[in-house]
Formats: sequence, structure tokens, C-alpha cells
Amino acid sequence: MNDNNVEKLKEIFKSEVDELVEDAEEVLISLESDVSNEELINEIFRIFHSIKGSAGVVGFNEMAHFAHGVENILDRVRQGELKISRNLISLILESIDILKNYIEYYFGGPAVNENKVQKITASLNRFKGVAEPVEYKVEEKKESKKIKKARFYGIHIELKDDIFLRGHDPILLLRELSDMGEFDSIRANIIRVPELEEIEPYTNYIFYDLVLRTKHTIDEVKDVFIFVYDDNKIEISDISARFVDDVDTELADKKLGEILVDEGVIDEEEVERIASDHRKIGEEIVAKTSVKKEQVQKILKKKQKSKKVQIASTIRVKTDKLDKLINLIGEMVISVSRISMIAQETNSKEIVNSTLELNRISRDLQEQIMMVRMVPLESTFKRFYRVVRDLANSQKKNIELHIAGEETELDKTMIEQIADPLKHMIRNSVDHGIESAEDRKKAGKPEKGNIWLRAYQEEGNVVIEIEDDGKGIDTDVVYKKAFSKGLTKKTRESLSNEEIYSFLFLPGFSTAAVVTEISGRGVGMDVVKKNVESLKGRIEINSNSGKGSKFKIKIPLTIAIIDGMRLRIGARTYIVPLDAIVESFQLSALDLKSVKGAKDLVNLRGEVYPLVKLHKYLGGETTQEDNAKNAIVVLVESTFKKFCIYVDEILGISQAVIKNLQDNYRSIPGVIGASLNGDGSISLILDIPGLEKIMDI
Amino acid sequence: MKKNILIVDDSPTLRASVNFVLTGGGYNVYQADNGMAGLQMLDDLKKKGERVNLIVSDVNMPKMNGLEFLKAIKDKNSMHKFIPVIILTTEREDTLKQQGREYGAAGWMTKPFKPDLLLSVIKKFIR
Repeated sequence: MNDNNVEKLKEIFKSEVDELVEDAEEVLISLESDVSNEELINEIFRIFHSIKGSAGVVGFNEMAHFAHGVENILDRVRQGELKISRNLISLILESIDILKNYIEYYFGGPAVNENKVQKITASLNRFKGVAEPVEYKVEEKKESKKIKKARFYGIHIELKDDIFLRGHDPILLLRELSDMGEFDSIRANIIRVPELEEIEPYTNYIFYDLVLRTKHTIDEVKDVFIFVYDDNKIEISDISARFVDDVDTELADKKLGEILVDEGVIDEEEVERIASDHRKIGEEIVAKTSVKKEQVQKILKKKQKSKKVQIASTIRVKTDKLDKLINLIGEMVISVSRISMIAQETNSKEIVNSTLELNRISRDLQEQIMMVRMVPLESTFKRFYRVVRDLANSQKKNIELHIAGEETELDKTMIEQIADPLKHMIRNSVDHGIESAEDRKKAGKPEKGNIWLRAYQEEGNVVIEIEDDGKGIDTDVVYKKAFSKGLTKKTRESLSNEEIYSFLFLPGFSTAAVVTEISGRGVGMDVVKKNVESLKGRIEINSNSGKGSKFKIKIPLTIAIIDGMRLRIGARTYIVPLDAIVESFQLSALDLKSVKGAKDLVNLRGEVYPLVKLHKYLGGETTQEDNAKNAIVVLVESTFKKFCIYVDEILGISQAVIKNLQDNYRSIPGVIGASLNGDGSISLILDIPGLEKIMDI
Repeated sequence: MKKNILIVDDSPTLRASVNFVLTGGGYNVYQADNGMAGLQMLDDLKKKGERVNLIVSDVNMPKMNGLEFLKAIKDKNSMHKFIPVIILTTEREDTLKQQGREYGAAGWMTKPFKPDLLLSVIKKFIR
């Protein structure tokens, strides 16, 4: 500001303060006869507030400081901590005189009487509350303290979609950074940029990763982002340790193509295309020198031979070969465990110990061969970021997908089969689970919805969870819909939540009012269930109205071998997958009910379950009399229902290698397959969800 | 071309001082003494085809305060919603600063401040 302007500013200040002081005196006089008039109190506070501010602007700091002291007292009055008294009013009037003195002094008058200022300040201090008054200080630009040696900062800038609406421009931030030093690398990440016709011009899609070389401190770099730091994803870290003599040591182990892709110079596909076009060095040599093709080929063969010997790192194997191997090893495991049981009976310590050893080795072997087929869920999961983002955008919802446990491994063919159902369920969460921003606000939730996709191993199963913090499943709505579509005839009261959830999996069910492009009309939840069950898996639903839903898909690590309970019914043995079994008990202790003309029911601790007599469906007979009081019953559960199976004897727990019936015979509803027993006989492995279907329980 | 900045504050001294600093920094400055007058000025300038590149607004003002002013500017039907707004508060008005951020303020400054600080903050919004 030049001197001329300073003079002008002082004049403006003087006339402003003259006016304010006049107002202040008037307000104080009125206040004297109306001490609790809030409007007047606010007015007098505002006047001192303005005087302080304006004095600060012109640089009359003593005056600003003095006005600030009075303002603090008036703030206490305004907050109701202090009452206006005649005394206080006189004191403020005296303060106004001081302010007038200051003005006179700043415009060439005599110096302000320091004694008087101190006396009034002391009197004012008696009114000071316990709480420290707010400090008065002038904010100024921080001195930049440069450091000696340049440092490298890795900076990730991810600004919100609506950043332009706030008036921020990412380019200006980058420019400010570039003024501080130089960019060692900078990359604009464009994976979130949609197709041209879908681009909204005022939406920010790009985020940046850069390395800045600068002599400024990390705090100064952070200051660049002062207005966007809290609400956006800005990550700044000192990565100087990676650099030696200004050279990025991480580049040493990277291939040129990779580095170029990282720096955004070229994209990955292009590199691959060029790499595949590229002529091999041998061909170049033959083409450009006098070396003969035969010579090069001879050496190449030598090299290949050496390579074969040196590293046979990967080989491709057809999956069916692997499956055969898995089956064989599975059978071996079973034989070995049978041998160890026989060994126990010999009472020979040596035999027992060595068979135990054999048992352990064969199980390790089984585990290892299973690992061969396992791949992490990562690439399947990562795809969903885009799915959620696109879908949420198209519905104007703000949803974040959180992924955890993506390193969990699952059989490759199972991953292929689970990918589509997962996608469908995630779409459902976006479509039907998470509410619109307005509805969330109304429900007192944060506008941003969350979907969690997690995977983990649990008791020989891989569990995949899809959870959202949306509105949850409204059982009443589901019931009404199911009833109106004729899917159930029962009353609402007679149905448990689980039974109502099961309607969601019936073909053609939908509760969404609006049909969306992608998840459509709930078509597909039935397919989801079918796919999961074909993997011998199960779906569990947990929902909390208003808070969200959780879908839990449990699938066995492998579908080739199951842990099962062997049961005898008549002359036949059956195997029930262990994870389908809830408990088993003797019927005598229970209440067996025969409802006239209907199925038999079992009453267990107050819960009533249907009783299934397998021999009636799968042929054969029982050795027991029907409805015998001492028969054994096994309670099993499928996805939504529990029921009891009537058996003669429980033979024990064992592993079973599943042999497909279709390949050798034909498929039987309610049966997964068959398994070879130790004595060469065969057990049928029961398919509990399948049984539920054919028996219409 | 000179960039236009609108300063909205009820203190003539503050407006004058900001005016001097910004004019010295090569900007065109428009002034209004409360939010209502600020909105009127934005509309008038728009009609004349003038574009305001940045607004610096006080919070505590008579008639229409800075938060209401900010709300009106950032309304989704507002013609001025893309203009960045820097709000001015004092130390004791920290909660107002937070509110301002929620209403869509691009930046904030605590009064009183040295003029060169204002210039360096403005550079974050105007190239």
C-alpha cells in the first residue's frame, strides 16, 4: 500500500470510528435504563468488535488491543455471565473516551495518558471471568524456513467429485506445489474418468500422484492444501530415504515398460502390444549382421536346454488332471485313516506310531494339492469398486465400498462361479440397500453409504460377507409382496424372519419400487442361491431394519471332498455334510407328533420340525418300526429351514470324496453324489437343500 | 484481463484496506456492506456480463450475514455457485468457520490479518 493509500485509509477509519463511538454512547445511555435489553447488548458488543477489527486493519494496534479488552467483557455480558451495572456502564463510557484519545493521538494530537489507560484496564480486569479471553493477534504470512538439503515428498491428491463447486481448482494446487520445487514425477490417474458421453463437465474425476523435490518442510507442503486437507484424501509423506543422490532407487528393479506405465507416459496395453511386435535379438542379429541363422539357433537351443534345467518355475496343467489327483489323494487319506484305526486295534506301538505319521503326511499332501488350485479373491473383489461407483453415480448416491480379506484364497473354478452372484448381490446393496442421500439424512445417517465386502476362512469354509449400512430388509414389505404374488398363503405372524427372507430367493421376486437398469427386478436372487448351492454353499441373511443388511455366503474350501456324518438307514449308508448338521438325539426323549393327514413333526425344546423318512423317498427300508420311540433323529439345516431325518444308526464322522453320479449313472434329486466306503460299498451323500426342495417341507 | 473480486464487509475500513491491497495486486475490486447488497451486486455484474472470480466475505454483518449470503450463492439453482468464497471470521467465531465450510466456503481467514497473507490465499483460487 502506498503512503497516499495509507492516508486515505486512516481517513476512512477515522470517520468509521467517529460514527461507531457516537452510536456507542447512544446505546449505553439507553442501556442504563433498560439493563437487560439483549438487542442493545448485542449492539454495543458489535460496535467494540468493529472498532477492534478496523483498528487492527489500519495497524493501530494499541487501540485495537484496548478495544479488544472491552469486547471481552461485553462478550461475557452477551453470554449472560455478567450483568450490566451502572458501574460497568460508566467504565465503558470512560473506555470510549480513551478510544477518542487514541484517535486524536493517531491524527497528530497529544499522546494518550498511559496512567489513565492502565487504571481503566485494571478496572476492566475486575470484570474478567475465569475463562481466559480470546487472544488478540494479527495473522500474518508464516516465514518459510528452508531446509538445507532438498527432500522428496510423495503426494497423493484425491479431491472430491464436487470440488469445482467449492471453487477449488486442482491445477492451481499443482501450480503452487511446482513453485516450491520441482516434480520428480507426476501422474494424473484417469481410471475414474467415464465414457465421453457420461462425463459431467463440473465433476472432478482425476486424481494425482506425484513426487515433489523441494527445500520446504513437510508442513509447508501441507499448507498448500490448507483448505482441502480435512475434507479430501490428501496424503503427503517424506520419501527421501528412497532417493540416493537424487536418484530413485526403486527404479532399479523395475522394467522400463513398468516405469513408463507408472509415470503415465504410456498405457499398459500399448506396452504389451509393442513388446509382442518387437523382434527378438536373434532375429535382429541374423537380419543385420553376417551371423548365420543356424548359428543363432544352435546357441538358442543350448540356452533353452540350460534354462529348462535351471528353472522349471511354472508349468501348465489341465485342471481335470489336477482334479483326478485331488480325488485320488482324498481317497488315500480316507484309506490311511482307516488303516490307522485298524492299527490302533493291534496294540502295537510301532504300527500305531508309523500309521499316525502316515496319516499326518497324507493330510499335508492333501492340503498342498488343494493349494495348487487356490487363487486369491483379490482380482474378483477389486472389480467391484468400479461397479459400485458407476451404479452409485447413476443413482446419485454416495457410496464407498470397503474391501477386506481379498487375499483369501478359493478354488479357481469356484471363484469363477461365485463372481456373478457376488456382483448381483453388491448391485442389490447399491440399488435396494443403501437409501438415497435425502432418505439417509432424514434417518439421521451420514449421507455417504457404505458397503463392506469381506472374505475370510472359517472352519474349512470360505465366508464372503456383503454388508451395507442401508435401510435393511423390511420383513413386512417382503411378506406383503410375497403374499400378493401368491408365494405364500401363511399369515405374517406364523412366519419367522428367516422364512420371510427366503422369499427373496424365489424366482421373480422384487421389492424395489423403481426398476433400475442393472439390478432390475430382483430377477437373479434365485439364481444367486442356485449358484451358491451348486458349490455346496449356503447364504445367511441378517438384517436390522433401518441399520442395514448382511449377506453371508459360506462355501466349502473345496467341493471335491467333504466332512460328513455317516448314517445307516436299513441296509444303506448315507453321508450328511457335517456343516448341515445341527444336532442329533434319540427320539424317545422327545415328543413325536402326528398331525392327521399331514407329515410327522418333532417337538424339540418347544420348536417343531418336520420329520423326514428318507427310505420313503430314496427307497429301502428301516430296521426300526415306523415311529419307534427309540429311533435316532438328526436335525439338519439348509439355508432357511431346519428339519429332522429319521435314522437307524450313526456310524461316525469321516471324510468323503464325492463321486459324481451323473458321470456314471444319472443324477438323483436330493443326492450330491456317492462315496466309496472302506469295505468297497457305497454311501450316498445327501444334498440337504435339494431334499428340502423335493420334499416340499 | 483483470480478475474481479467482490469484498463484502460492513466495516468501511476493512473494505478500503482490502481494496487498496487487491487493487495494488492487480485485481478489480467491488464492494458491498452486507450479504443482501452482495447478492444484488453479483446479479448486476452478471447482467453487465462481468464475471466475479472470487468473493471475500465477512460473517458478522447486519441485514444478511455471511453464512446466509454463502448459502444463497452455493444454492444449487444459483447462477453464482461456482465462485469460490473466502469467509472472514475472528478467533471467537471458530464455529462459524466450521459452518461456513459446510455451506461450501472455499477458504477462510481469521481477522485481523496482514494484507500479504490475503494475496497469497487468493492465489489458491485465481490464476
